[in-house]
Amino acid sequence: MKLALVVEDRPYAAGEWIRGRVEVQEGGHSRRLTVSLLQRDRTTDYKGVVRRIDGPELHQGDLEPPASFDFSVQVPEDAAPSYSDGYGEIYWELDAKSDERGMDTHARSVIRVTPPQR
Amino acid sequence: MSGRFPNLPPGHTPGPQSRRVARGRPWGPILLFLFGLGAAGGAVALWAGRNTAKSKSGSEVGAAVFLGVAVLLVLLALWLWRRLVHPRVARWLDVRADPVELRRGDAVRAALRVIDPARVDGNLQLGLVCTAFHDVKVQSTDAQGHRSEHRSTQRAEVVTDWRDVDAAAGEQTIEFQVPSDGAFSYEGDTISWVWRVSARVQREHRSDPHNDVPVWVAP
Repeated sequence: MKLALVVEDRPYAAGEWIRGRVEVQEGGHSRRLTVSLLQRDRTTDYKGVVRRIDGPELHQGDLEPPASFDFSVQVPEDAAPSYSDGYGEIYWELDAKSDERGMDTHARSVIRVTPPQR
Repeated sequence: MSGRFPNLPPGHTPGPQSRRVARGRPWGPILLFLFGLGAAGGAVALWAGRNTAKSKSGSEVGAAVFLGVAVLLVLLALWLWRRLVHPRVARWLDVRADPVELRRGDAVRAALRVIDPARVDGNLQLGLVCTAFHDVKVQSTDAQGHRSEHRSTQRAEVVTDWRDVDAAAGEQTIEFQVPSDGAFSYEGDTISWVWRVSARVQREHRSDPHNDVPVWVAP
């Protein structure tokens, strides 16, 4: 199984919709295909998930290439903007997941969220 | 400000990292206190059995030694507990911040009134500070040479703006500017950024008495 996430590469503001598609490049057995938007942070040694916004379920059952599934997920109105310094980083990540027996297959893409306008 | 989470102004919930750190048990002082109780028990046993012991004076000396060790261990445990769990707050430094909710680029007014100027035995300062609490892997090796890793939350001050103030000058107010492109208040899983207005007395070779007011800096 191999998935690819296609998203417009630009910064997003809080409250804005992220639209994109998940492409199935190599097929396989799957229970369901979903997309989530995760607020994450990390230091040099650790990564964590602070918040998860579940998007729609895109497909149920096995995946066969070529296939493509459009999706849209909204950045929360109160989203913390992306930020980093020498000690750590706050960032957002889109996670397309094929739920499978055993290890799931993921395709991930970092999303840059801009600070609110003054 | 919550007792368990003194870094946070009212109305803000702690993040996963803050909750994890608050759950951590201060095992060092607890173990020292238990060893101290054990030593005190040994002293009582030696004293109670001195009349049936081979050497009465030996038992009495042993009881005195055990009692001394017990007192030392309990005092050390209390000292560590105060340093690690309940750091002493200098309540005679009356510090206030207005507003406590602001945004990057805004200004915050800090006011300081020294209730007891006689206790200022160093350089009195009022400041705006942002601290990054960041998780790192720490390696340790036990007596048998086995290596292990554990997660440790370390602190680093990323913004410091300290100004000297005169302890004898009555209430003083200083306006601090929050950098517009710096860190904002954030409660995360592996890192948190925490802002505070603080008054401290800088002293050489001793800990600095201080009093803090947490402020929340929105992005």
